[in-house]
Amino acid sequence: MNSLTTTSTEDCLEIIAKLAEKEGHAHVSDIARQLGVKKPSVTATLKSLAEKGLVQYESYHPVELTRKGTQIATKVMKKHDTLKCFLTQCLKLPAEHADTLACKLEHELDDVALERLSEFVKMKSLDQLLPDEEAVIVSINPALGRRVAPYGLVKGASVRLSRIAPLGDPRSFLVNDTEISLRASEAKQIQVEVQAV
Amino acid sequence: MNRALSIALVGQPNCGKTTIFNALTGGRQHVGNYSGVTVERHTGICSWKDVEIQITDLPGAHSLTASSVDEAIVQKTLLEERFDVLVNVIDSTQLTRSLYLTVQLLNLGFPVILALNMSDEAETKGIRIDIKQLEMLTGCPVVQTVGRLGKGMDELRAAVLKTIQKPFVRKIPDWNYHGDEHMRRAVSKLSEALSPEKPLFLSAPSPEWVAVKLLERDTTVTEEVFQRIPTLQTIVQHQIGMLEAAQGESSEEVVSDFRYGIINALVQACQRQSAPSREDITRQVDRVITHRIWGLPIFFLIMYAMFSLTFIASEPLMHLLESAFASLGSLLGSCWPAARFPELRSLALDGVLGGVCGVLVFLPNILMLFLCLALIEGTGYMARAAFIMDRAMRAVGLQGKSFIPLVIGFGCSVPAIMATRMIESRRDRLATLFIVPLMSCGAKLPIYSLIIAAFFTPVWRAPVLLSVYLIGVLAAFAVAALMRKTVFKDESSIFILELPPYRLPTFKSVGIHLWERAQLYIYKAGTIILVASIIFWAATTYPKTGHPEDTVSGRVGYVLEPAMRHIGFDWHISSALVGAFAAKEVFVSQLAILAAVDGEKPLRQFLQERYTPLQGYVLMIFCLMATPCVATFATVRKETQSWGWAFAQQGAMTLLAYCVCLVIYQVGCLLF
Repeated sequence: MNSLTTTSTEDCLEIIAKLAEKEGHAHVSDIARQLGVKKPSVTATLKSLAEKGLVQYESYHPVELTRKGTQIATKVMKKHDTLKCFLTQCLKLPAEHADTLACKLEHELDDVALERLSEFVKMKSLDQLLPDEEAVIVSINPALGRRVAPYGLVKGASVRLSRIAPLGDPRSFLVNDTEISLRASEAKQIQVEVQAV
Repeated sequence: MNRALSIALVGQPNCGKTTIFNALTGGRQHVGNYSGVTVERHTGICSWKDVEIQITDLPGAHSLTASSVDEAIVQKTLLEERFDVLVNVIDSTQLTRSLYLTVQLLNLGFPVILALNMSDEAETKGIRIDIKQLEMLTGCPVVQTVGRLGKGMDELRAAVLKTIQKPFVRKIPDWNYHGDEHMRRAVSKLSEALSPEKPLFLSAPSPEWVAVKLLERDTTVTEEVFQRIPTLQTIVQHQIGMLEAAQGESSEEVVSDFRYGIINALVQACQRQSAPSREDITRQVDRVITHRIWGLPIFFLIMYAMFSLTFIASEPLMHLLESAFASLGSLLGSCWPAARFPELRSLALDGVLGGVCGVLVFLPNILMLFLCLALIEGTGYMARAAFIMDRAMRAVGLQGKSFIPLVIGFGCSVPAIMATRMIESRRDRLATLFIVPLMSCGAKLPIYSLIIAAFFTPVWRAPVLLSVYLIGVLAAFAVAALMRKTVFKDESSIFILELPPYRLPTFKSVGIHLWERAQLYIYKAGTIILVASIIFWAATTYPKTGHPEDTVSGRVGYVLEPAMRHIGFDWHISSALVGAFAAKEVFVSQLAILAAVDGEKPLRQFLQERYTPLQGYVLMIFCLMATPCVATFATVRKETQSWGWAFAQQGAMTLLAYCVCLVIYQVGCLLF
């Protein structure tokens, strides 16, 4: 990769972010494997990304995203999730197909379109849920997912906002028959789709 | 039956497991410790129809993973110990969530009995569970129980005996109603690879269970397996990779989906929900308790009630005990002639009796406090308290569950530190327990009363007292915030809190709980306090020359004087502070001795003649912060299982005290 297109930048950042979710940093070898290219190409890319201030990269060290890089990665992942939701729920495409297509479309989706699309598929993060809304969980950040799974907070579970603490945080949600409280910072990591008002 | 049979009670928190345990063992139980942690291990023995059975009540766990200390223990115990039967206690009103653990237990391959507890509540809510269908689908006996009322215990015993008497056949339910091809393929490939190996864990769980855990990337299981069979690493990683590629999500999510597929199928087949008779009591009460406007005032009211009940109500009992010991002391004193073995006499009366009294006198206080705690926790209010206070606590680097131990700390640090057990997150628990001594406890009040009365005019007294408490609280928050930025910088904690339905705890369970606490307090904390009291009695009495400055504590006072001078203390105060390490109230009596020696003056006069109000104020702050008493030290050491933390607390608090007092005194000298 000699020149960096927006697509390859975003893909790279997205992969680093996903790998980092598990351990806090990403190894060059893992990035190479995921992208399906050789290590030298990856190091070249990483150097350009570092110059742009998007990653922290030193030879022989694992890669970390800077704040700017994280912002871009998060946005791309949100676009991916929203698109995937649209493709599976509205167009009824199978998961694998939707995933591959979303990967391609995410780079072309601009902010206005993203907003409208989000509204259309009624996707929001759990902390934005309003009292009368019934919603279904669409995706959960993996690091959080493992901790909340035993409480019933999994993909496909239906949730309602039950109550808000007097000081505004945390919020309590009704999941199946259980009341679970989460802080806003954690609820933000759960994407839901509103079913009916 | 020749050998002793053993069963274990497993279930999620708040399922009523302990109530059933108490009902089955009749309160005859032994409380020990799991090695390396302060979680208590409850075991009991009972005999049914000539069969002796040992019952272990495992801690509540949502899942067989190691997310918290409790869960890690349950996983470890089930992997290392063989139980003849596992009794899975289930909250019938929350079948979906409860089955998350059940599904994992069944996969282990051990004999399991399902106890559908709280079946009366389920009925009220209109929930009906088809027992026969559930038995058929899970392959285990299912018993309906109401632990609170002791219903279903006979049926449970009968089921246990019947299961034990059958020859053991490893049985994994045929989970074929969730058609996930990829998952099933991955599990069967891995179990094939695992089967020929000798059992990896002492209790010999089924290879399928191990396979699912490996796919789920469970840290404990993965470590153990890879250590024993390094060659499996590639196979496992390959399977995980294939699974993730096929499903487009992480393997943990795939496993979780798989489990919920089974759970949903079970619930669909076995549970019928008709409209509940009326709106849940819990929801109605919660609407008031966690109300946006009224929630906080109600909360503070309840805290105040708890506080008053504990300290004010137990005071008469404490005074009773004190006077009883005093009478005992004078009785012994008159029986034992002063001439015979005067040293031994002094040791027995002042050292031992004084020490024992010092320990036991707290007992009504501790019991009252634990009664309140048991009620608050048993009813489910504790969760609401944490829910309400979380936001405020987070602003200072703690969390919602920290609030209650800190409030208790205003009465006494020992039960407050014990109360931090309710905090699952290690870093929050340690931070809370570390700052508890800064919540000015009841033992320091006599010191304040003495000094404030000696130096301040009536109009200033209340504000000065308030300022002392306030400085303590502010210092506590500052320390907590500092700890979050330094010691605990890299540790994050996720706050997930379940708000269980409101329930009434039974008299029996509360009673048993209190009895346990009393025993623990007397035996464990008591021994150290007793020994320390004797040591400090010796330090303040010997060498006996008639001059207080020659005793050990007097000499310590002299040695410390150069440093203490900067905060306005002379050797009298420093030597009296030595005794205060045993218990803060001792400071007052030590000063009294010094005053008496110095010409029989009343203590107040002694203070007024020698010291300024500024010195008095600084003294109060120093007593508030420095060297938490030996009872606190002992409790911290026990709760953290580490001498390091106990000593660190002593050091940090004393250093803090010195610095704060230095600032106040030096600035004060400049101003006044």
